[in-house]
Amino acid sequence: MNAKLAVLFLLLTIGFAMPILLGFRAVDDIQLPNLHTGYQPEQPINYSHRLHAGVLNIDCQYCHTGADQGRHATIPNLQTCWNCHETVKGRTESAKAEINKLLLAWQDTDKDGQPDGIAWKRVHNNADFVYFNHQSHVRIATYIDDDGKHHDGIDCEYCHGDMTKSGVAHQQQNMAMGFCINCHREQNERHVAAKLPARAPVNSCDACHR
Amino acid sequence: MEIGTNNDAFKNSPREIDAELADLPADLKAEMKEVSRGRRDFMKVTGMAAMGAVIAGCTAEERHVKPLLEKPEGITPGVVYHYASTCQGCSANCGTLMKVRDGRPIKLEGNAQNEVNGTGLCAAGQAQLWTLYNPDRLHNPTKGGETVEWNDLDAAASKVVGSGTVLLTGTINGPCANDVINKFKAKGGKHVAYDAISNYSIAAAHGKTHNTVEIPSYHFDKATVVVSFDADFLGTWINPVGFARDWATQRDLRDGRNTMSRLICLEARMSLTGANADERHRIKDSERGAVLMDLAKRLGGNFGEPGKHSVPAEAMAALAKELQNAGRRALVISGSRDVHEQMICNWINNKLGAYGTTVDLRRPSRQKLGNDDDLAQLLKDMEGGKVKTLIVWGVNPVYDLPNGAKFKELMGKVENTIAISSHADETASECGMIAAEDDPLEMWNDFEPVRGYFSLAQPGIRRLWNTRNGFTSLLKWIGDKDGNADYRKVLKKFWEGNLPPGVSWSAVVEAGASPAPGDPTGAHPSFNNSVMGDIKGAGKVDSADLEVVTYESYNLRDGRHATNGWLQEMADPMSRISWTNIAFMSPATMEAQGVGEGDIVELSVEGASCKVPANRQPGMADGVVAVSLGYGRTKAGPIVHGRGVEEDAVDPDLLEEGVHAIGGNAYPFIGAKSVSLSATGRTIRLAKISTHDSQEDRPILKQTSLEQWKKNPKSGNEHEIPPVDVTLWPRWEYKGHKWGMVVDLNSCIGCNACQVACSIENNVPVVGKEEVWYRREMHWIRIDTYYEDNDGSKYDGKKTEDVNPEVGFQPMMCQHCENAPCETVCPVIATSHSDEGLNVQAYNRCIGTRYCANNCPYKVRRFNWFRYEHHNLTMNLVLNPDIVVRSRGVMEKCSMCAQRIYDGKREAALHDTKIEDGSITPACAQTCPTDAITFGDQNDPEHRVAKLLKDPRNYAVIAEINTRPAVTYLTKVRNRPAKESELKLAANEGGHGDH
Repeated sequence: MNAKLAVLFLLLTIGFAMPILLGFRAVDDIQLPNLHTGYQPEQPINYSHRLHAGVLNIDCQYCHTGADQGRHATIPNLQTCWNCHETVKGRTESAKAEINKLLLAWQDTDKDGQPDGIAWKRVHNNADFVYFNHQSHVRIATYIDDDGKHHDGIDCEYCHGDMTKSGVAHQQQNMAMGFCINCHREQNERHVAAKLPARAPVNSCDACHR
Repeated sequence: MEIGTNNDAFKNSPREIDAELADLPADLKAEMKEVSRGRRDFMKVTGMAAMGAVIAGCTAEERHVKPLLEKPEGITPGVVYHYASTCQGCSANCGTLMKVRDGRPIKLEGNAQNEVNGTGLCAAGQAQLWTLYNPDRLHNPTKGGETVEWNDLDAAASKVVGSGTVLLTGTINGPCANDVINKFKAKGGKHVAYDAISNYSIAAAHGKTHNTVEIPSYHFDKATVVVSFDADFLGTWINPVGFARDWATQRDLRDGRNTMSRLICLEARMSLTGANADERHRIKDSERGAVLMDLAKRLGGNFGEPGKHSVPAEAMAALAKELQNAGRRALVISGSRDVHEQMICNWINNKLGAYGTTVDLRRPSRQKLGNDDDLAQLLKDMEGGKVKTLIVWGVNPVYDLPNGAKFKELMGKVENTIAISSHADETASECGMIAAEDDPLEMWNDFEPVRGYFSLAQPGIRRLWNTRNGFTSLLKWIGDKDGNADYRKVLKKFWEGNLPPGVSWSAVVEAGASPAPGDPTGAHPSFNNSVMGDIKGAGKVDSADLEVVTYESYNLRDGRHATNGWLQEMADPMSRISWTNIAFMSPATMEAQGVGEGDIVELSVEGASCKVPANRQPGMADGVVAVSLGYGRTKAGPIVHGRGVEEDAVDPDLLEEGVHAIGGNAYPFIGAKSVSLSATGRTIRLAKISTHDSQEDRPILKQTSLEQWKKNPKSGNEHEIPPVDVTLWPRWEYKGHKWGMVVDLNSCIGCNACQVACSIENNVPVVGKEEVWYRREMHWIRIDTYYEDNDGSKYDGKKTEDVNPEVGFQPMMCQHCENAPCETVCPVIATSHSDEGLNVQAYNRCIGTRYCANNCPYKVRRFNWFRYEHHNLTMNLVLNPDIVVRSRGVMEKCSMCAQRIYDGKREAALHDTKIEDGSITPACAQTCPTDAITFGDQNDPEHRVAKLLKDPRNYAVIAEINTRPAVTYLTKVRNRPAKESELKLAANEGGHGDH
């Protein structure tokens, strides 16, 4: 009996000691990328959503054109930035320098003689076994709020936070399955109650896992 | 891992870029290049994606998104676009739709607008994607085995191409393509075309009987009686997809139709067509002339005395009578290479009045234009040293001529040899120079499958390697100015100059073909009776003890798909054996020859031999050995897939000599009559997808005869054992959709197209020969081949009645049971029931206990024993980004193409419409040439599926265990007199004593 307890004790010790032995990896490093709430990597251009979406009141989909067309919201092409910044050159020195990076991305070439472009850092990294489609949520879905009011499409804000008040893009929500399925379930019930079953979000696994 | 999907940088605009580049301003040019750069981008992007693959799932390290400088108009990343093109997987020239996403084709489908094939596409056609992405292609032009620049190659080639040059190709039927050939001929060159699988005897016979050397078009949709002498028109013959589609329209008993055509086969081997025949006679090839002559005699044509053959006189009399009754709606075809036999066929068709109805020379087929006489002349010229330069383009004569070895030797007598080829195959590697050609999916081309009907092929991707369109090469070498232009421009200019008024180039590109010419009018060429005096000898029977029959392989076709993993693993439809060709013999012949299953036998004719494993094939004529062509390629390169080169698939003797060949090359046996067979003493294990071919008297594949069905539409389906309706859980309620599938066994011909479509759509891996041995193949849908004794009793392959068994095919995929046995045993609820009636599997939840597979009565669940990712990252470009790539230790199975269901639902919601019937089609149903699979909403009475559920023929497999599947079947109906056993069954209706 004692021998058994000793073995159990040893196993437990090893179990607890393993993370320490492996070198104190931060919890952030071993979790799934979609759970990375607050992730806000430094971007190659210090782009401010607060200025563009907030102060200047530019619609999200002016730049993220894919959001209502397919799976990806898409990062805007350089040409989209250039539509305005061909004339808008910035007032402060730092702004001028940031805007000038657009030109450099076009002019500077890699070793193959191709324009460098801008390698943005991905902020939202869903696991590859999850299928998410922006069009379904932004354009097709009907969102029924707490008051029973129907909205065409889900506001970007619901998942991405209020970008008009945020600077550099960051991950607002912990995009674990609970975040998705809670809304799906709630909305499903409200759709059924509102006699809109055809537009009710799907709760079965194959909606996202296939 | 989904490669490339999360990379906005990875966006090749698929077409036109190449051509338009020249017209763009300089700054945009650089940008467009960025959009469409080939090789470097792939390596960069796949590299990046591979990095992401390692990272994703465990840490939150940085991943990058690199948008384009400018978005190509009308193209959104992650959105699918379809482009019409023409299939080049065989010579049928079916119309295809390329499903292109983020600049790469990920699926090929039949083009519904196309006259040749419609929505169907065969396995080989779809599997071309493998060849496109397989890096085992030529990446650069070579000269003397060394990589050279295009300029150097062109300079060298231009010097030697001109007068005295012979261009050897396969069938070239496109109008612009022929224009290029004519330009080449104008410079003093000579063009010779041949087909590895030749149908020239048909054309030659019509040259005699109708004064026109053409292969007619066949209209199986107008025929009520089809008699086939060794013509495998449902498998590989001339235009199999179109023929199968047309033939099936006359066999369909759904939607209120109640007539069926008859199919009678007389053949030596067991072909796919023979397996679908209502009546089948086993004749040796040497008897065929006599049988044809006998049939002609019974129809009033006396051209000579038919020799003695094995078909009973009463069967012959019945056959003649049946044909006479059908008259002009009869059709007699033959796959014979003998011109005299084909002439008898023509005479019979003419006598019956079939010309103009089921056979038509007014709008002949142009799918096989090879001329065997020209080829013979070329060999003579090469022998005589008359050929100064030989250009071999798109064909592989060293491998696929019966005297290939001789051809190789004769190539030595030719001063300059040039190959235009995408692979360094057996012939190209013997040539001094190789102009590396694009893959068919990377280039522009045009075709004329049927006279007056023109179709286009366009690229689906920017070329991956430093290759070039073969037409451009040829034009450059003859000094034509078009050689400097992109071939798209050449093609466009030619077509615009020749299009009928009112038809624009862009309309043709969009449709993939010119408008259909409509039914032919005018008088049909008349039959020339005077030539029939020449065929006196055709009825002579000159049989050998052991005759050899060669046939086009169902998967590798003429051998061009030898490096294709999907097709190597796709089993032969009759024997369900993959990864080799087989010396098939009837059980009696096997015994007579003293060989057993898997024994490697050496077949030899004068001057050539090949070693292949033997296996029994019920239904073959005795004294015949049948070997498929297309195998035994020695320079096909390794087959790249998750488990590496298939050493086990390769003949060990050859491997010692450093030769990687799968199966044996049977081309030397073409035209040979007798063959000698000797056992080598070695035995190998065959990679069988299915190891049992009898239903053991259980009603799994239910069948009946037309006669019985007309009396009782539930015939064959009467003896259902009612399920005991006891379940552990409450019954499901389906308030919205309830997806379901109905498979019509009467339409299924067992061609395997669905299986390959499924594998491509759903990222199903190729596991290799060894894993197939262990029953670890991964196909989500399999076709079960069942043999049935002719007297209806249990098939055991031993009794005398078994010598000519009936065959049935049954596609079997996840049945999506309402009471699914798999769901209740999963300890982690990785598999569950959706509220729309599907059995869904969450791979990321699965821990691999395999309880579900163990509990599945249909054996449709597949377990990943290994990680089957492709070795080469270029191959990963073929993956469908809408489907996860399952990893080791995960169970997987048919999802009824959940991604397509959700796409369909999204599309309907977008337009605020209900889901129309037919708007969602899983990959298997989409590609089926005979429309055997119907998918839809069982809850919507307007959907065809809901109607078919009420068909008296509808049944569920092993319904008695109360699984309540969402996939059901319709009884197979054979158009032949009822068998005794079937009559007995009908008499016992309601009783279950028999089963």
